[in-house]
Formats: sequence, C-alpha cells, structure tokens
Amino acid sequence: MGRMKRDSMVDASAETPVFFPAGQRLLFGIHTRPTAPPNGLAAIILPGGGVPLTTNRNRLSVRVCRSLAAQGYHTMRFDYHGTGESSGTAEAFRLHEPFAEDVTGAIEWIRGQGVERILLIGSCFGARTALAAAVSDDRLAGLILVSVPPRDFEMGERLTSRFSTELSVWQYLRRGLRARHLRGLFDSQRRAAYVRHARAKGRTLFGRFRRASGAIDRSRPDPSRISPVFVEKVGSLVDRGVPILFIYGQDEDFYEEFGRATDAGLGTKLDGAGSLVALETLPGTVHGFTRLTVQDQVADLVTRWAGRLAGVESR
Amino acid sequence: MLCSSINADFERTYRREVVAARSLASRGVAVARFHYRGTGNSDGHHTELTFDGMVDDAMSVLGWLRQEAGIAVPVVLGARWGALVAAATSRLSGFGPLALWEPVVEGTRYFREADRARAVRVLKEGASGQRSAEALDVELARYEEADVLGYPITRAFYDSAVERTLAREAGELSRAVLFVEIGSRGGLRPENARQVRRWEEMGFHVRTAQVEGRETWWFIGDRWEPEERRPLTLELARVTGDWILEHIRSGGWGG
Repeated sequence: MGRMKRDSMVDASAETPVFFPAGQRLLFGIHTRPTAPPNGLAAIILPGGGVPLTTNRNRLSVRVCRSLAAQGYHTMRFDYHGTGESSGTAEAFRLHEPFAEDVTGAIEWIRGQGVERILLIGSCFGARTALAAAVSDDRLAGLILVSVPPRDFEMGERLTSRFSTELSVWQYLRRGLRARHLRGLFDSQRRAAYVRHARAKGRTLFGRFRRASGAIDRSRPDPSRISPVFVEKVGSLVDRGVPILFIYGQDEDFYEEFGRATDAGLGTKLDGAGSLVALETLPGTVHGFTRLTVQDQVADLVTRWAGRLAGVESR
Repeated sequence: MLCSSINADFERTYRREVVAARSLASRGVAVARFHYRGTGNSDGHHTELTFDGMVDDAMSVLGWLRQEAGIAVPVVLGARWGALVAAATSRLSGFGPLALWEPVVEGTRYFREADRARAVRVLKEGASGQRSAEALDVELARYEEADVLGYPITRAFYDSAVERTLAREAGELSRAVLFVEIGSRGGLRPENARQVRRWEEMGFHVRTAQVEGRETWWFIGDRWEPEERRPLTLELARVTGDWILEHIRSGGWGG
C-alpha cells in the first residue's frame, strides 16, 4: 500500500489535541478517534529519543495513528516530558530509566475515554519505555517493539559502549593513531567523542575487573552487556500471555544483540510463546526510520499486526 | 507568528521554537505556531506541499491572529526555510516587521545541502542500487519524489521553491528586520552580509545578531541536551524578545 493511500484514510478532523497530567507534569498529546466502528482497543505510540515528537520522523506516527483509527482504534501520540509541546525538562534519554510515568499518564487519559484494552507501540527508547509501562498494566492488549535495544545505555553512547566490548585496547590505540583521527584532535566535537570512547572503554574494563572480583553493582547498568532488565521484562510479559511483535532491521546492531539475548535464555521463552510472539525483520536498518521505504514497511507491518490483534480480541 | 522550517529542520528546532515562544509569551508577546498542510500534525499529504501553499497557510494564521487575537502589527518570524515563507508573508500582508533565524537565503542552497546530506549517506553506506546516488535534480527529473534521509522532496515542491530568494520574497518596501545568524562570532557569513548590506542600501532597518552555536542540518544527532538550558536557544529567545519589546516601547516599527 502506498503512502498516499494510507494517509488519506483519516484526516485531522478526527483528532483532538489534549494536555493530560503525568506525575507532576502536563503532557501534550493528540487523540485520534476511530473513524470505523470502534474495536474496543486504543493504541499509544511512543517515539525514540532521536525525534521525540508526536510526529516522529517524517510524520510516521501521524500516519500510523490515522491508519489505526481507520481500523477502529482510538490512538494517542504524545510528547514525553521536556520534549515537543509538553512541560518539564528531559534531563537525559537513558534506556534503564524509561519514561514509564509519561505512558501511565497517557494510558489513564485514554482509559478515561472509555477504552480499556491498550496496544503500546514504541520504537527504540519508546520501545523500552513501552516495555517498562507494560509490566505493570494488567489490561494490556499487546505490544509492538520496533528496534528495541537489548542493552542499557544513554542516548549518544550506543556506539561507544558497543565498541568498548568489541575492540581491544590495542585496536583502540591503532584506530586512534590513524591520520584522520589525529586531525580530529583539532575539532572540539570530535575531541569530545574521543573522550567518550576512552571513558566507555575504561568503564568496560573496570566492570570486568569488578565482576571478576565478585563486586557487582546491580544499581549501575553495564552498557556493554545485554540488559537483565530487558530479558526479565520481556520474559514476564510472555509468561502473562501478552502478544508481542518485534521488528528489527537485519543490518542493525540491535538485531544482532537481540540474537545474543535469545541465546542467553530469552529464546526458550519466546519459542514457548508460539504465535503470541512474532519477529519481523526488514532489509537494512530500521532504527531511526531514515529511509522512506523503511517507514512504509514498518507502517504496514504495524497496521497489519494491529488489525490481526483486533480480530483476536473481538473473538 | 512563527514560520517553522521543514523536514529534518522542523524536528530539530521544534522544542527550541516551543521554548522561545513560551519565553516571548512570558514577556507579554503572544506567539502563534503552526504546521504547514501536509506536514507535522496538520491535514494533508506531503505531495500537497508547495512554497505557495506554505505562504497561504501562513497568511491564514496571520488572518486568524489579527481577527481572533486582535493583533494589529504582527511580527513574522521565520526559522531556516521558514524565513523564505516569513519574508513572502510579510510582503503580502503589508510589509510588517520580519525576524529571521539562520535564514535560508537562497532556495538553491537548501537543496544543495540536501544533496550533500544524501552524498554523505552514500559514502557511509554505499550506493548499491539506491536512487540517492544521483543528484537530487536528476532524480526529481526522473521520478516524482526523492528520499533525503527519510524525508520526501517532491518535484512539485522543488519546482515551486528552488528559485526562491530571501531578497525577492521580502520585496523592496523597507521595514524593520531582525537577522540572526547561528554560528561562530566574528562577522556574518558572506551570503548573509551581502543580504543585510543590500537591505540597508534599500532603507531597511536591519538589526543583526550572531548567536553562538553549531548546527548540523539534515542530520539528527545522537546527543541529547535539554533545549531549555541550551545557551543558543536562550539567546535566540532573548535577542528576539528584546528587539520586539524595544520597538513596542519606542512606539512603532519605523526604525
């Protein structure tokens, strides 16, 4: 289905901008009413940290919300605290500190419209936030996790934390001595990036030392390893029988890390879930939605899976 | 009235514009922001986006501000691509005051940057079978739409916009202009200095300001910094607010 056809299904006349409370803050969201007979479900869209807006990149969230409304869903897209039109300040986007309170506020608002069953759809940071909110909601209808990162790191540390486990100290030094990296020392932004890489490597080495000595600080996540919190939360939702769709790009690091997470024990749980858990992969990179074709493919996968979920729920 | 930019700029500067608007409001200046048709949360499809359509949308908001909010002389503010829209809107609506944040001075420059962004991606990821290995204008001559890092540029938009310049859109009748450049301090960049000089020769009352900051347009960075604390954002809001209030206190926009 082409972008034009999907966009034309519902227009802004079915939408209402709202401010709703979440903790101490007022968040901005857009509620799209169903334009087909209501299916009793609501979908809430959670963007990643790169474009943390109601629209997401190139209005992807707008398109998904309007498509789902045409299937009978109530939908809500909103700005996290400190982003877009919302109040508050977002200090950082850390995967181990997702904005679950914001989602709870959105869920409460949409339930106030008389819809109980909720589908959470998140990408990257939004997927981890959806996961965090999902475990404490017993009326959850389903979960769509797009490029969900299985490690814990802060926005901006994705590559530094990954390299810190993949490269040895010797490889770091060899890379650092390359001419273009030496030239980078004259640029303040690149200098700052080198410092981040060095710190990440230092933290990884220190973490290994502490683990070897038996001193593990569970309150501080290790960004170089698969997150035990991620594994635990996915596992608990599978145990509860919550339908989950994972979407990854075949070339992205998160997909490779997801494979490691399944090797580390999550796989057995996911296999046991049967058709409740689905994994869809797309060629290239999905994370960030930096291609129009990827945006179309993700929108199609999401709307089709959500359609099937509505069918199952109505039985 | 604030005319935003489009595509990656729109997303990159969204929070900055919200913060600046709220800062202006706290100083007594009402601010209207909006999304052009086919963009953001507004109605329409991206294929409907043309330069003239954007100006029409801005004119509608201006009409609303005058009628509903009773504002006699609105300041039209444009950021990046929105500066071209703001300039045209200011000309078509009676040559009111104009504020420009890091304006796109020529449409060709904006599309050249888009082309460069595509080239950077091809260098990074390889061109295998991608249309984006071609120049933007070549691709648009062959297809209806080009993909620039996940943002669509349609032939209709390109054709309606590529020849636009700030000078032409603003027209020739003198007025008050605030011209803010984002970059390193030490004199405006040549293209901006030329534009300001030209307006001054035509009798425009131009105030220039340089706000220190570094922006990589088209590429959304992976570092987060709360916009409320960014010196760049706070300075933009301060400079703009000072300029508006100064004119209000002096009783008009003549000089």
